[in-house]
Amino acid sequence: MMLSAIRTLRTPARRALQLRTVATEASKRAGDISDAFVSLSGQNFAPLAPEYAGLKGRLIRGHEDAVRESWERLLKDLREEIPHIVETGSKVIPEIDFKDIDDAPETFSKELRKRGVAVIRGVVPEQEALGWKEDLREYIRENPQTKGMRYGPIEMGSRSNTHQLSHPRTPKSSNSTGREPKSSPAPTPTCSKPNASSCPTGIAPIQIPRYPPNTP
Amino acid sequence: MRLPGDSRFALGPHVDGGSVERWDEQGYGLGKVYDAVWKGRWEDFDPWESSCRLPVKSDLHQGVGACTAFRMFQGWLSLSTCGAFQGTLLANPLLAKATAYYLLRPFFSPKRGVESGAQTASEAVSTSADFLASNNWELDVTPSSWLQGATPGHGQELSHLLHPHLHLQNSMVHMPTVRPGDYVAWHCDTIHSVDKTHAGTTDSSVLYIPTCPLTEDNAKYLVRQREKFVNGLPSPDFGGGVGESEHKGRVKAEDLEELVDVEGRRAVGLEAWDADAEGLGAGEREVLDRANTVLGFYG
Repeated sequence: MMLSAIRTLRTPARRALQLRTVATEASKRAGDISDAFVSLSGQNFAPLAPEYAGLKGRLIRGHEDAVRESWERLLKDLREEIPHIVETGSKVIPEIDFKDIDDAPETFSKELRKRGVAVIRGVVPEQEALGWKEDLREYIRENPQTKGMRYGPIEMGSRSNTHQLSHPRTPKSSNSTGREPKSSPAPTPTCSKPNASSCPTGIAPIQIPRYPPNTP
Repeated sequence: MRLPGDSRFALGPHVDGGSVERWDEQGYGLGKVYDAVWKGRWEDFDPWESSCRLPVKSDLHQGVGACTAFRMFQGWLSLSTCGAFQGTLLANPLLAKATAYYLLRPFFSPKRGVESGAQTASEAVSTSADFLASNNWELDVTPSSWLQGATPGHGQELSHLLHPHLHLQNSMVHMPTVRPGDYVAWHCDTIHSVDKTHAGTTDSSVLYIPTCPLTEDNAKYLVRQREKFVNGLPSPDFGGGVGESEHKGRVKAEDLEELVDVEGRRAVGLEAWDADAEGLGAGEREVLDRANTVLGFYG
């Protein structure tokens, strides 16, 4: 276990005590991923409250003709591009080795800008990543009551991993492809929050509770 | 950690970062993120213009799991070797055009192939050329209250019935095979889903780690998140409960002194940013200063 390697802590709780505390806020209603999505919670899609009709009217007011024309251009564009995507399949997604990310080839940046998704190879050495998975399994085994994990050594370690966040690293791909923020420009330090919530594609934190350790 | 054979985690195409908020003047409208689309100029919509997203409120309806922080990229780090149909991610690689489509879809209705007033047709009709033809779609004279796939307090979903021109049955593309240590990143407007069934032979495991720029609002989020972390409780955007507060082996704030370096501690709000570091621009210093203030490091 990773933590067993940690020696006596030099300054226990010092930082925790320094922290500004905030008033305990109201927690969101209890629920998991099936509450987060209508289709997983057994509800149906339906028209919304009448306010939304008014909202929609305000959004395009005065631009109705332009919106209608733009929709036709959009449908035409989709008709042309989607067959290319279907034919190309996974190869349409740009890839880059992590070691090259500070000097990304223009083709990668261009494709990322267009496709909005990319694979970055080898951000963590493979054996290290596999070791993390084993440590995670042990953390769950030791804590069979686990419902979604956030603060295990691996999770905190990986979210705070220098390769994952450090300097411009991971976000570099966004910096090199987009204009820098005008009003609050600090793309350099990245804030990779522990458990930054929501995306259900985060298979790990959400799925784990459903598999107690003794499940094959 | 998804095991072979699993089909419970069958989440279809969806977009994170709220649902109705993308249309709401008090949501994404605060940053005028999609104004080009509303004005009939979707070609001018630049999904990479990030400053307009800073004022956005993407969680106006207390959605469970709805994110209150700004994530420019979603992402995960794979802990498995995982290919198509083995429990992996699919993404729609159309980005700006797909975004324009799901934003504009609620303003138009099909004329042929549906019962009067209906928004969806059968699966067979939905894929027919006649149903999809431009001349079958009309701008609603009086807007309906439909926002296809959006429900307050729930995530934005997409389907080929509600969004037929995206051909989602075919245009959701599997990630190339990933190996442990590979990272996948996707834009915060990108439609994504997961394999309906995990038909592989080994676990499909990822650590979900989005890419968040340091902004003043994200620093405010970090204050709330930090308190939850210190107490071992679920993060502010998740349902409540005891979380990991009683777990054996849980990482405590003080453990990070030894577990990670200074950048790691900064990322979780336990160490001040160095606003005096060499090479920073004026704007960078400013936002680091503001973040340090928000996080309580300046007294």
